[in-house]
Amino acid sequence: MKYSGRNSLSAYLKIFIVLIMAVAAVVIIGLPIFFKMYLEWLDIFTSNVIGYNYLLTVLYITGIASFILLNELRKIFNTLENCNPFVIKNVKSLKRISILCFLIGIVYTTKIFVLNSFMTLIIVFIFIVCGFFALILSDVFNQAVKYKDDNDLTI
Amino acid sequence: MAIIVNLDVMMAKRKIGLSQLAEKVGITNANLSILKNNKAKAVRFTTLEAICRELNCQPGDILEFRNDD
Repeated sequence: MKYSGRNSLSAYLKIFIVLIMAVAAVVIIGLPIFFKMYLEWLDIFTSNVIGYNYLLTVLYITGIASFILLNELRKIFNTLENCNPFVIKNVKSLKRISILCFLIGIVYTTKIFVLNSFMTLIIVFIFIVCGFFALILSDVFNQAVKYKDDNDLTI
Repeated sequence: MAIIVNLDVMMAKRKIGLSQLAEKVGITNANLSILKNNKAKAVRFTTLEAICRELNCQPGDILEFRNDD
């Protein structure tokens, strides 16, 4: 199984990411409707307007952040498909991914105080850890880009 | 750069073209061009050996140290 290049795992994952992005776009656009439908289906739709608006804001912020995050991932997988992942563009993408992960983590941290649940704690933990991983990975890529430049200019 | 590559001088003396030398040495035109234009950061001994063999010269004929100040 090839991991990078044409018809490889990264190429298929890129298609998968594009599909998720399409679904995410539909969900973000129709978020108020879907959210209301979901709450009605759970039979817990109440007149608690503050909670509803707060949750809708949380979902909007994290939804849009996730969409941008997926787009950055798509760009990285694009370079993997072209067999040229060690470019400065990917370093910037990973930095942006880490910032977005921290943003999602922080937004869900506020949810701990407003509407806590066990899943919220897990989400906060995962996204903060992901943020740190992406930050470190961006530094690793930065070093790799330097090595690659040196190697490319060694005749 | 303190190290100057005088490959073009030697190539002119031996009357050999860039693509011809690249083919004989076994590197791409682009890479030889980088070397000729002083853009390279390093030269492998194997490459230097091949160039010296093809041009029938010493490394000192191709490389030159010039003090920057």
